[in-house]
Amino acid sequence: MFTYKTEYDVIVVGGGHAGCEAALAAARLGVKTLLITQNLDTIAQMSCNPSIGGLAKGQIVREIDALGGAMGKVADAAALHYHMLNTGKGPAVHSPRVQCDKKIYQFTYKHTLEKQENLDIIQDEVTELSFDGSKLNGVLTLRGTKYISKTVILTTGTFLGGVIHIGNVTMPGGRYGDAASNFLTKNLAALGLNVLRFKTGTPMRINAKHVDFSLFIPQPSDDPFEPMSIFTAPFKRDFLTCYITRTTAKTHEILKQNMRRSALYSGQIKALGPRYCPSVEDKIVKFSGAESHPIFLEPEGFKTQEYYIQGFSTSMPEDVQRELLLSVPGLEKASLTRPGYAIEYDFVDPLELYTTLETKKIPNLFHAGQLNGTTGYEEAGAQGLIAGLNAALKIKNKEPFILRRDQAYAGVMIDDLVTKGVNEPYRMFTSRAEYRIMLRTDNADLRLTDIGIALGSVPERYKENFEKYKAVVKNPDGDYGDMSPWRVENARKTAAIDKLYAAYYDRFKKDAEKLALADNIVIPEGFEPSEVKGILIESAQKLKKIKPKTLGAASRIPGVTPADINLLMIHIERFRNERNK
Amino acid sequence: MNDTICAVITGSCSGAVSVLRLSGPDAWSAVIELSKRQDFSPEPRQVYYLDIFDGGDLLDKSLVTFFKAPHSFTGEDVVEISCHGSPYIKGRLLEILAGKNVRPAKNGEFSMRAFLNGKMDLTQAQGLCDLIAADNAAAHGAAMNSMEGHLSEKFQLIKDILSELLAQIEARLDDVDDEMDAMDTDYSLEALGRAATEIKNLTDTFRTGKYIKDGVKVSIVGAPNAGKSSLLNALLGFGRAIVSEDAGTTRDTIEDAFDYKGRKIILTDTAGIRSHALNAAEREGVERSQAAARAADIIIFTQDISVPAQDAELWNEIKKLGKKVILAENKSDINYSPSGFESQADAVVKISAKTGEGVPELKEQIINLANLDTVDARSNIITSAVHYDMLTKAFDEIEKAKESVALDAGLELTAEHIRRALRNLREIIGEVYADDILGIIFSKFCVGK
Repeated sequence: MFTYKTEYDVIVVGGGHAGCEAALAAARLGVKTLLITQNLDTIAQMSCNPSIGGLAKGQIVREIDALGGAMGKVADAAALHYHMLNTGKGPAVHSPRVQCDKKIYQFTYKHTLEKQENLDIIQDEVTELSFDGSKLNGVLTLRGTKYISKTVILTTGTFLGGVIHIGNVTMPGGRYGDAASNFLTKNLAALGLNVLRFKTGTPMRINAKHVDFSLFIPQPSDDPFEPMSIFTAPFKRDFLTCYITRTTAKTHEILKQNMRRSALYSGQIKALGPRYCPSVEDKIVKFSGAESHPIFLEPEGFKTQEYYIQGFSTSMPEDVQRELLLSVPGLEKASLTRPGYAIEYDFVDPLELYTTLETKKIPNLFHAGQLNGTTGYEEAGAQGLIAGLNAALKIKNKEPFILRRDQAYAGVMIDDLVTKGVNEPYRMFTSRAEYRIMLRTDNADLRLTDIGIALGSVPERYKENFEKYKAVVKNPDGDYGDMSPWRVENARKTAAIDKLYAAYYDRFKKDAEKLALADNIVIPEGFEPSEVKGILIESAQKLKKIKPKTLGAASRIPGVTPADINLLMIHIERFRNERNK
Repeated sequence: MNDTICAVITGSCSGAVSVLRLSGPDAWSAVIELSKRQDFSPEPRQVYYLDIFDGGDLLDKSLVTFFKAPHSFTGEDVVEISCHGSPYIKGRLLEILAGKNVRPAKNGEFSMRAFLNGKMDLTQAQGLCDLIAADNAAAHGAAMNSMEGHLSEKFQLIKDILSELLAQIEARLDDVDDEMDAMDTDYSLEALGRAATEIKNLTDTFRTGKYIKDGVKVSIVGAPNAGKSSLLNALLGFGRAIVSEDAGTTRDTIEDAFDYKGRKIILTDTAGIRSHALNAAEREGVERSQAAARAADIIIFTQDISVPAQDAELWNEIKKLGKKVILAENKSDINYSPSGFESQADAVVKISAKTGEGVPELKEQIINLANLDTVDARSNIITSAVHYDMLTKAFDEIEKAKESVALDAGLELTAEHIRRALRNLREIIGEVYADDILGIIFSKFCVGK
């Protein structure tokens, strides 16, 4: 065994959307960081759809962006089609989505990491966490190398114990074409973490050579468009077109006849899936009355004519998948390039985590992304960013960074994960946010960028520009000096939306104050909430399992009553009084 | 704990004087506003004799003490109002204060604030914990037995209507590809209307609920010498009021209570009302009796039926108050000449205050009109001011949601009001989590990956 001489502050295991943001965030805060990934050519790989953003997810990308993350900027560099969703509804639910060239996305991200100071990248597979006694001190790899580090962030996506299903064909794998990570998942279970299993899936890809696009409805890129990142100035590019078509009666007939051959319905897959419909099989079974479902053709890149068929996610055998293509007019002559598949993978119960994304059982070990039972690049990226920041802050002996539910979708997500746990792959929806009207794409920077500057994840030099921007939002008709016209336009747009929703802000402010009050009451070390007399038994059990850090977190555990919280409040006060005697 | 709370701290029994306590940042300003004395800056720990107004009308003259934080029971700004013990005055004060952002306090809430502000020691806090724990278990028990009793069914119904509608709206907000039909305005309005009606029916029972707790307030009015005091004595079963042949003997209002079939009925006898009062004292009496009539839940209009009616003007005045009116036709044993008011009254009872004839029937009618015989105290009645407050707030949000639908202000805003309504009701109906709504959406709409 070889021990690498450099001692790191943070090691990030995994180079997906969570891992990349985690590594960047930690390095930006000035701590010595190493990212280890199985394959450098799949850094920030878009394993599923070729798009970033979307409903509620677009809001999350803007939040990552506002805190200095890379996702939005990289997406703009790789953009081949922009679409602002929900523009027919109120601005609180407008969500930007961008289709990306997958290769440009990957290499732009890889280059971003390569350029980052304080960050090393190495290709290897982590097999085990390394300990000095009970203290985490780094990781061991498949090549027999030991890397020393004060903290470790695991962002292993669907790779832990990954099994791919295509009809009755199964093979181990973290993604089609990439090996699963089986050593690490055993190691985590052995360390006492609660390892659970989920499933998800992805659709087939096709070569568009003989596709008849004239039979589809074209969906051109927005013109003008809004870039994904608030730092990206408007630019010109020859964008590509996406297409919409629909399943037919024939499609449904094929699916019905072959339902028993689907890995999802044959009983082959045991893991839990979401209540919504990730696969076209689900759509047919759960909504048998619907005559047709939409299908979207999305280009995978500028220099390829491979298309991603959104809406055709399936775990049918390959022969059925080919038949399904034949059932859609225009796709009859398309050739299948990669079959759709379902994947089962291990994740760790997020109830094992604190709001900082550090595990409760193993100090200095952080978890982010799909490993926490979420789904989506954006959800993963935001967790990566927050885990990266918190690992770095811990090294620097600073206060942890916790986003509240009234501050960001990222705050809603993490609070949901660590107080409620997950019963299905967790995906963001705008309805999860109590403060939806405040948490918008247009004001993500106003909500978060000052925090980013204070933490160091947003460069200090941006401050002056941002102060001017804030001044224009406050006084949209005032003097805006030398600010770029597009920035002025954004500021004015936000000012107008604030005005539209102003009547709702008062109540939100009051609620948020109450929330902050409860969130500021820390449950002291040594105080056991579940042992408080008078607390309902069910509440006590949940408090014991979840171990909330604050009274606010305790109050959001489902089933815990307001009276429980009152009792806790009194007993915490007593506990403090007695301890201070 | 940054809000202001209030409650009657002297129990619900109708003593001569009751004390209402307010605690929190708006306690002082709310009471000063009620006194209608702008520029009034009271000294802490001084007692003031203040007029308390209900809109433009004088509600009560009360002794009011102001305490400045931290020198108060709770450690916050506190005001204590010693008002007259009438259930009406107390109830009305709580209602007015609720409109000024002062919400009814929950059980033990003053004590809890006192403890958290360091005003109460640990041993005292234990008693407080026991109280909250008992409440917790009881409320939880009620929630667990949600299938029992009409009230829980009603709550469940309101929860279902609002959750279903919210899921329909949220599904549209999630439908970025416009796959679904647009939201049906008629359905939205109909569902909101149904929820509003259910809530209204419940808040309407709060009056009834209060009758059960605090008693029904009945005011006896009529022309001078119609026999009001005799009737009061007959109903009470003893000679509470002085009775004489001279018209205008009763100049002050007299209040007393009796129990009938387990219900408390609070009677007020008033001075006879006529347009031109003879002297200052009588005029004062007339004003008081008008105030009492306004304060009543039910009015007994007493009329000397042995002579042709001369009190049409008074009858019309009383009817204008919009209260339930029982026409008590007195002295019917002497002579009977119908007044013609019979068809306008909510009930007509022929009585003889002297012989006691018709008095039991009159008592029955009081109970009837207060809806007390048709309701079961434990089923579908709101008795808690805290619940009433939550329901009222939820009702207001539903009204705003309706407005938002009607104006087509945006689905996200309609959703916001429905969410707020559900949030206001969460301590009654239980929390409706985002995940519950998503569950309804996923079961009804095909949401893809």
